[in-house]
Order: sequence, then C-alpha cells, then structure tokens
Amino acid sequence: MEHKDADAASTAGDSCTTDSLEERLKVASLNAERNRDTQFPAVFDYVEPPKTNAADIRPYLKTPEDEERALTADYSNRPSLSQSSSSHAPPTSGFFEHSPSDAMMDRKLRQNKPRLLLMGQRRSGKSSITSVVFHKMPPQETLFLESTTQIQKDSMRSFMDFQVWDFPGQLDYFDPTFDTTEIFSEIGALVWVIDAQDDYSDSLNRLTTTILNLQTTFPHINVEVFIHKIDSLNEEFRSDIYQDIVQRVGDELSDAGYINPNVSYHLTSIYDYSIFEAFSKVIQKLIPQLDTLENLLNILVNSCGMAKAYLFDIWSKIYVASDTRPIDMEVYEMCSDYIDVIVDITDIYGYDRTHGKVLGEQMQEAESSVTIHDGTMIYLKEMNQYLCLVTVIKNDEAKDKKGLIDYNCHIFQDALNAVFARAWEKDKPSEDGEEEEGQKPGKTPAQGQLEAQLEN
Amino acid sequence: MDTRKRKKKVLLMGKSGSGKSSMRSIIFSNYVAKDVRRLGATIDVEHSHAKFMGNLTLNLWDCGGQDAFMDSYLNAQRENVFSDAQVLIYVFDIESRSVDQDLETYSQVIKALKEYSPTAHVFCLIHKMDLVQTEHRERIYEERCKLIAARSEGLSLETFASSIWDQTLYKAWAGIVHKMIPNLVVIERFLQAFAKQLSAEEIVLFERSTFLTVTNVVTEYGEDNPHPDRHERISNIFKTYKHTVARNTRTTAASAGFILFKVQTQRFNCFLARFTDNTYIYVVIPPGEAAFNCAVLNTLMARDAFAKKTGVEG
Amino acid sequence: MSIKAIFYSKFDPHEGPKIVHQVPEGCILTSGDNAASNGDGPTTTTPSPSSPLLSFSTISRFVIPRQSLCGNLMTLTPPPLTPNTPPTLVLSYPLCLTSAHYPRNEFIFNFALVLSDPATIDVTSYKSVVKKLAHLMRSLEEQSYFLSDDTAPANSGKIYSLCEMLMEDLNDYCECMVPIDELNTLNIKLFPTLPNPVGVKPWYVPLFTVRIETMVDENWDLTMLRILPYINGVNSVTRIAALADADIKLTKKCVKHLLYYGCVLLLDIFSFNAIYAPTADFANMIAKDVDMQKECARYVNTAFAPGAQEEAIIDGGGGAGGGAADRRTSQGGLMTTAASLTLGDDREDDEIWPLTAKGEPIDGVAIVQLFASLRQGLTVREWYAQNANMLANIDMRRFVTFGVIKGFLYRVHRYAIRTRKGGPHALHGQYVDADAEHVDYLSRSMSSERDLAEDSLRSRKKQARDRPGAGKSHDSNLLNSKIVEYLDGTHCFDEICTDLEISEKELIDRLKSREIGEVTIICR
Repeated sequence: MEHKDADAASTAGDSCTTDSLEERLKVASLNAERNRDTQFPAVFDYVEPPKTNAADIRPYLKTPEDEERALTADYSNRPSLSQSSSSHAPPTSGFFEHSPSDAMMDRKLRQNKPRLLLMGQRRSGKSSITSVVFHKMPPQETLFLESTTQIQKDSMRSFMDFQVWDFPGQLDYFDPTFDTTEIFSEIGALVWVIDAQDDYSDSLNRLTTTILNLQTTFPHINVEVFIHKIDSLNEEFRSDIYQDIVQRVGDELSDAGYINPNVSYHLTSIYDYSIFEAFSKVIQKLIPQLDTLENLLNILVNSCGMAKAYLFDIWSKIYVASDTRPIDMEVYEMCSDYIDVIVDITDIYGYDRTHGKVLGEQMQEAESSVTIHDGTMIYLKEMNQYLCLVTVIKNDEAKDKKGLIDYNCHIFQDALNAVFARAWEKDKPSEDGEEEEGQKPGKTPAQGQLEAQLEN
Repeated sequence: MDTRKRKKKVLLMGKSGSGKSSMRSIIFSNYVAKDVRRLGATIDVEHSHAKFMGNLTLNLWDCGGQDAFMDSYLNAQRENVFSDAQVLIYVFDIESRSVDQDLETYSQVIKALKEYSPTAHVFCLIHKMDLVQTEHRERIYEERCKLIAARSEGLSLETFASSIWDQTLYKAWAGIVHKMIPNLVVIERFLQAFAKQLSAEEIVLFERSTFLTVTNVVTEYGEDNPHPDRHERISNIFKTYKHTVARNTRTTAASAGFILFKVQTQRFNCFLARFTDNTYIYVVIPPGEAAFNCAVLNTLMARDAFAKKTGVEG
Repeated sequence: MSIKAIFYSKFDPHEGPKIVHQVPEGCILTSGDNAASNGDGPTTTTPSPSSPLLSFSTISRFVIPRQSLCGNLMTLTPPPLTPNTPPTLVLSYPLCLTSAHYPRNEFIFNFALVLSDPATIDVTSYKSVVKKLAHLMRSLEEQSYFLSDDTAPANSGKIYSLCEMLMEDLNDYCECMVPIDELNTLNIKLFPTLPNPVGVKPWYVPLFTVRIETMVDENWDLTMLRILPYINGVNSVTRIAALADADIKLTKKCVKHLLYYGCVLLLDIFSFNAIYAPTADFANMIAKDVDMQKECARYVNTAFAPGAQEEAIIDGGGGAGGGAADRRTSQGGLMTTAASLTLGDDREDDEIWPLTAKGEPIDGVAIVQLFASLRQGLTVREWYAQNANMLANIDMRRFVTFGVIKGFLYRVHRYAIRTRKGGPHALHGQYVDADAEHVDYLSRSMSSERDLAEDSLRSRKKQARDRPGAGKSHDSNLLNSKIVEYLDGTHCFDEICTDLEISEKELIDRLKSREIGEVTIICR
C-alpha cells in the first residue's frame, strides 16, 4: 500500500476540488448528524484532510438515506410519517403478548374512538408533537421533519382508540371546499398549537374564528390551547405569555357572546414532560369514566397510604387518570421513566423459556417496585394490556405492608375492569366505534356479565 | 484474602479528538452523552483517581493527543509516562482519515510501553462506531483489529468497538476493568455457588457508581437468553434511570442510587439490590412469588459472607 | 533594547501548543521536526538576524497552560539555550476563551514578551503592557474572531505586523499607537514604576529639584497650588501648612506626591544649633571632584544674588543625596539659581570662587577644608565662629544644604532620654503610669518598640490636648509633661520642637532645668 499523500496539501478552509458534490454532501450530512442537540449548533468548519489510501471506510459511513431508514426503523409498528395511514394490526403493547382470550376484552375495551384534531399555524409544532408523543421520536430529531402537506391520521391503540389528525398549518378549514362535517364530527377535542416563540396574533385570530364557527355546529367540542415551544423561555416570560393569550382569547370570545367558553390552556414543550402532561389532561377529558376512575384512585391512595397514583397508558406514557392530589412534575417524570425501565428489562428477559422451570405460583400481571436512596418507593402494577398503575409511596409503614397493597391493587383492578365493562355494555355491539353516550355505570346489572367475561 | 488497596496506573491515549476525555467523563464522572459536547481539549496529561469496588484505585492518565504532546510523551517524558503502567487504553477514531498515521503513532507508543512496562495489558477501543452503517460494522471492525494487532508487538491485546451513544461503551470499559479486579476468581466462585442455591438464571455484580459489570455468572437456566449484549444494556438502563432520579430528587448523580429494585412477571423475576458499599447485585430467577421473596432476603443476608470470603471491602 | 522578542502562541486542536508568529524570526526555537506538523511553525531555514534565545518546548506548558491557569500573568525565567545566550525573562498572559464556536469549545492563546537583562530594567511596567495587550486581544477576539480567523502563514499578516510595530515602538519610544482596524487601536505606554517614597514628617523641609512653575497649571490640586509658593528649602512642612493655611495632613500628602515623582527632595530644618558632619562618601566625592567643588562655589557664593525662590541643583550625574534627585536626569549639569538664569552659566572660573572677608578667593581646596571642619559636636554657629573670615561671602545654609543633597554631609540629630523620674514639681497623677512605662522603654531595644511608643504617644497626645488647661504654671507643667512623652530617645529635637511649637532653646532650657527629671541628650 503506497501513501498517496503527495497531494495532501490542503489547509484550513479550502476544500478539495476533486471531490464530487455528492461526496461533500455526504460529508456535510455526517456533520449535521453529529449535532442533533439544538443547544449546540454545529459550527465546525469541516476541513477536508489529505486523502490516505488505508482501509478507507468512506463508503461505509452513514448517509442521509441511512439516517432516514434508522429514524423510521424503530417505529415499525407505526406508520411512517410520509404516508397517510389507516388502521393496521395492533402492536405488541403492554408487557407481553396476551393470550387469545384477551382479544375479546381488547375489542370490547376499545369501543370508543374519539378523535383529536391538532391544528394551528404552519411550523407551530404539530407534527413534532405527534412524533414525540405517539411515535417515540427523540425530540432532537424532530428538526428533520418535513412540512406536513396532507392531513395525517394516526391511530393510537390503547384502552381507548384515539385518532390524532395532524392538519397542515396552511389549511383554511372553513373554505367551502372542505367538508367540515366530515372533519369535525366525532371529535372529542380540538388541540390548537401556538408557537410561543413567534408572533402569535395571527394564530389567535384563526383560533377564535375556528371556535366561533364551531360553536354553532359542534358546541360540545373541547378546545385545548397548547402554548408550545416554551422550553427556551424563562418563568416570568412564560406566565406573561400565558396571561396574555388567555386574556385575548377570552376577550374575543366574550365580545362575540360566549362568556364561559370551553377552552383550556397548557404550556408545553417537546423537550420535557410538559407535553405528556398536557396530553394526559386532554385525553382525560375525553374519557367518560374519568370521575369514577379518579374516585377509585382516591380510595386506593387513601387506603394504602400512597403519595400519588397514576394510571398510565404503557405505550404512549400519557396518564389516563390520577388521584386528585396535586401533580408534582418531578414525581411524574420518575414514574414515566420508570415505565421505560420496566419495558426495557422485560424486553431483554421476557423471552420464552425452553426449560420451563418455575419455582412457584405467581400472579399473572407484571409488577415492580424500586426504592431509591431517599426512601421513596415507586410501585408499578400492570392492569391490563394497555394500562398500568404507577404509585409513589413515601410512607414507611406502607412500604412494609406489601401484601395489603397487593390486595388493594387487585381490588382496584377488578373495579377498573368493571368500569370499562360497564361502558361497553351499554353500547350497540358495533365494530365501527360509533359514538357512545358517556354514563356513570350503575353497579348491579353488569356485574354478572363482567365476572363471566373475566373468567374466560 | 487480599484486602490491600490496589493502585493501578492506567494510560489513556489516542489521537486528538478521538473521545478519550468524553469516555472518561461518562464512565467515571457521571456525565450524560449529551454533556460531553461541552468538554474542552485536554492540555497535557490530566490525572484522576477512580475508585472501583472499594479496593481498587485506578490512577488514570488522560493524555492529550495533539502532536506536540505526543511528541513530548515519546521523547522528553518517555520514562515518566510509560513506566509502571499496568494498562494502556488506546483509542482509535473510526472516521479518522489518516489511518496509516494513526497506526504509526500507535506503534511508537507500543514500543515505548514495551520498553518500560512490558507486562502491561493493552486495550484498543475502536470508537465512534455509531457513525458506521450497521451492516458494515462487523467487517470494518474486524479489518481494523487486524491492522492493530499487527502493530502490537506481541503485547497482550484486547480490542473493543465502542460508542458513547449506546451500551457498547459499557461493554468496553467493563472488559477493561474486569482484568484489573483483584480476587476475581474468588468472587466468581462465590457467585456460582450462590446462583446454584437460588436456582437463578444469572447473577451480575455491578460497580456502584459507574455501573460497570464487575463480573457475571450464568447458569444453565439462563443460557438461552437471545441478547448477548444484555449486561451492557442493563448498565445503560440503570445508569440512565439513576440520572433521572438524581435530577428529580435534586441530588447529584453520584449520591443518587437504588436501595432495592424488583420486577416480577410471568416469565421471570429479577431484582437489583445494594450489595457491598461499592457494588450492586442483580439476580434473575424463574417466576415464583415465595421463592422470589426468599431470594431477596437471602441475598441481603449473604452480604457479610461475601465480604469476608472475597475480601471485597464492604 | 529591552524587549528582545514578542511572540504569539496558541493551542492548535491538532498540533497542540505552537507559536504562530514571532518577532524577530527565529529567536524562539520550535521543534522543526514535528512529525505531524503541517509546517506551520517558523523554520530555521529563513535567515534570522538574531540567534535563538530560548526553546519553546521547555516553556510551552507554561505559555499554553491548562484552562484553569489561564487568565493570570505569568513570569518565566527560562533556562538559556547555550551558556552564551544572555538570560531572559518571559512575561506572558495566557487566556482561554470558551465558546461553542471553536472546535473543542475553547480558544487558548498567549501574547508574550521576552525581555533581556531582567535585573536592569523595570519589569513592572512591562507587566502592565502584557496585561493590556492580552485584554485588548481578548476583546478583539470576542467581537470579531480576530485571532482565530487568522490564517496567515507564520510571521506574516496583520498580527505579525502588529507585534513587530509594538516591539519596535516600545523599544525606541517607550510608547506606541498602532491602529488594528478601523475601530480599534492599540495604545501602550511604558510607565516607569517608582518606589514608594519615605514617610513625610512634619519637620522635614522640602526643596524643589525641578522648575515647578513650568509644570503647574490651574488644574492642579488646590492644596498643592497653595503650598507651592512656600516650598523653598527653608520652611518645614508644618510651617508650609501654617503659611499656606492648609491642613497639615493634606500638605504632607502633597509633599509625598511631589517626592514620589522626584520633584522635591527632603532636607532638615536649618538652624545654627544644628550639627553636621561628613559622611563616609566625603572622600570620594567633593574631596576629589573638582567639578563638584566648582558647582558648590557657584551655589554658595552670595555674590550671586540669593533669590527668594530656591531650587536645588539639577545635575546630570550621580550623587546619592535625597534619593529623588537623580531620577529626572535628562538635562545636563545645570545649576539654576535665580542669578545664573540671568547670568547664564558661562561664568568664568575665576569669578565663581567666593571671596573671604579679606577679599581673597576661596578655591576648591578651601571649600573642601571648610566641609571637613564640620564635625560631631560642632554646631553651625560655632563653626561659623571658627571660620568667620572664610564664610564672609558664603551662604551658610546653601553650603550645608549642598553637602546634604550631594550626600557627603549628614545632619546630626539630638535625642533626649529620660533616665530617672522625679523632679521638684510633682507631675499629674495620671502620668505616673507614663513614667513607669518610659523607664520600661529604656530597658528595651529602642528601635523595636518605636512603633509601640509612637502609637501610645499619639493617643496620649490626644488625651493631653483634650484636657483643659488652667493657669500658667499649669501650662508649664502641661508642656513639661508633653515633653516627657518624647523623651524615650526616638524623637529628635526637630520633631519635638515642631510638634510642640517651642524653640530649641526653650526645649534645652527645660531639659536642663531638671524639672522633668534626669535627662541625657544624645547626638547621632
């Protein structure tokens, strides 16, 4: 192997003119790829050092196409963002694949299919939100998302079936060519995303127009305003913007005659947990059984001496219900990440054993706990295929009484199932998920049916 | 029973910008991969001490890789740098364009090492592997290893592929540290016996602050595990969660930790507990509630026996 | 040629610490055979006018140190390259700028000065040059990446020419003004650092060594303007303050400032009771130096219209007197009395010698003899009495002053020590303690307790002042008791007289009268 460094005379700033454009683009994307984190922008002056002839691995370094593939590869269960999707096979969710007898329960649980619409100006962050929350994309990679050109419909398979429709920002929804009925019927909530770092007056105008237009036809729709991209703003600024937006929208609407509109506001960012928090709140409003669930959780928490309890959706890590004590973001983050830990460990050790060795009896559902250095215990229990209960116990006495906690959680699980059983029990048995009336379940008539179901 | 403190001089060398200080920060200083972007260049040699397992102190020499420094190490400071070294960790940057030059420098370093510390172990890390396409990684790694082995002049050599963005970093460093742990055989024997008693699938011993695998024992029940890289992944998982806990309880990553961690599922049970002052023990056993609880209790009681038998300071 | 070289070095992310530019070329040896070098450092192939002074590799770890050491002024004494190369001193101020803009997140650089003969030059002023340069470069870098964008090859380009101009101008003119770009200029001046002046005591007499009226303008400090007319080599500081109606502390400060800048020198109060004696340097100075004798003659001859405004001799040579006189020495030997201003200094030799009472000229030898006749124990009055004939046309004050300034005469001060307490008048009870302490002082070493004594003295003075007096005898006693405090052998008579505002005669009378006890008077 001879050295070819005779031409190796390039100095800083000059680039080798012998390289094709392709090569240089490849190299440039390599650099871009390095700098995923927005806080540290790439200001490398990439210097083309002299060529050598040794086992050159240039061809094998990653290219932009590889990056694309890698980005989409992890989400094999999810539709890629460049195609619009329709229903597809349910993914493996929960901790394990469940037996076929659960499938019926599965179907029954997913009778509701409320729709969430994500709207807002262009580049306000709608697609990034869906990618991060529902497709597990790392927030830094959302920089590479292209502009949305069509309505993206994502289905979120969980205990409830959600459809998240991501609208292109430049659409005018009230253009006569659009069929508003088709879009806005069957929706549970309208999420309006505002970019807090930009001038949002335009956005507010369109928001109010939209609300006013909808009030006549679909007055029951929840309007949620996400004040987004707040990660780089300081505390004071955030509250200023919040106040400002609340006031302006409120004023506009009251001018038009709606005194107490059904609008809520959330400060969000994809770089921390606030977006999950906000989505949790949004979805909770769509669950008809929310009050019951909260009550159940409250009873559980009080009787077990817990500090907090959440009912999480395992895949999306949005919590469906929690007890009514105030939410502490730090505890929430620890619980949310804890689910990841369990999922990862289960992924490694959850394979099918051939030796079939079993040391004794054990309950079917997965459960886990961790006690951290300051004595706080986080306790997780799988409820069903989609949901898990995560609780935080700080009380020393409670930590010791595991048996009691187990028992109480079991009762809770039964009640939970009863609640959902109730819900679909009233339904017409249809696969298309028509709208159902949310009702508080009565106790007696469904019990027998529930037990029959559970025995399967 | 060797309870003396052991000090090992570890040289960390490689081309400038290859990732030496970044790796050191992640493993020993609780940095997260994102944070290492902010590190500046290492000027001359940075000395640091890393305690491992309570009775092993690593005297790390993180040597700046710029030309002027390498020149100085190989000439003016030759004896000072290369004598009494037990381990040399040499880092190769996979996307370097001057491969021949790198190998040449490596060769010179090896020569100097052979001169003053001929019994030293050499570990070569082929770093930044995340930049190579997955399907080509294996092959490129093998090729590079061959080139390196040819220049290693017969010194005891082990190579690893690594990247700070995944668990291969832990595998590499665990492999390095593994060689230096005193009483390793005794520890493994103990764990073997213990695993048998518990009918465990596997037992892993982790170092407390770095979460590097000290050693692991796999019984016949755990042999079928389809994930050969699971120990590094576990290191990564726990270390990441430790950072989350530290962040949210407002303590430092060094003082945050787990007292007891348990998972019980239909297919397996596992738990992680503080074992000695400097180690965590991680046990995977087949499902069974009662047996599991017993196992946890037994493990906690075995601490003293372990400390006594293996000399790992509690 | 104080600055031998200036070099600019930085930390290169690939090569490590390296010298980018150096003026003059080749004076700092870099490792030219650096294996991975891109040939950036200055090579020894260019014919360099100066031979290398030092090697960069020996000092590189201090010139480009770790990040935590940056931001401090460093002085290095590098080992010389060969036994023949002169010793040098390297002053450097390494800086580390942190920003994500740089590869490796940091930019470390250093502008360093290499000085020759460190023992003979004023290093402190160069230190401030280095600091200023470093700060300016830092701002330039932060504003516009001036340094890190420099891609010029070694020893060329803007930075190099900047260093070149800086070195030349500082060596030649001690100041430089270099425009860097349209917004920035480098202004550097070497300020010599002077040693701190001695404390100015109220009984010292300042005398100008410069023509102060050429320097004064109305913007000067008010106190200073007021006291200037009274500085004539005759008035003590206390008297100047009194005459100028200025606060004594401020007056002292002004005189101290003048002393610092070498505008005045300090003498003692001239009185006929004073005693002067020759110093050890006498033999080497005027005794041998004919020019000095002539100078003296010119200075003391009363025929040359003694002016009211006095100035000291400004000479171009040595003389260790006073300390401050020799610094502003760029003018040639010039004696400036009011008379010589009008007469010029082309006086004939013959005419300078003063005449005796009988009209004979006194030549240099006689002048020396006159000086030599001053001795311990001989007051000026007595000395005059002995030499009245010779001193007929000689201004005695000037004569003596000349000797003191030049340093071959010194003033013999008198001190008094109280050896035994008691005396016919009982002193106030309060002072019994004082007596005891004074006796104690005697047994201890004088010099080490001086400060202690001074402090307690000051506090007691305050007490004394606060106490209301009543009656003349009371006053007299008061005065005695005040005098007592000075009688520990560390306060000269000048001091006592100035502080208590009594004449020396009165002081001596009181001491001799034994009212205050047994007192011994020492001359030294």
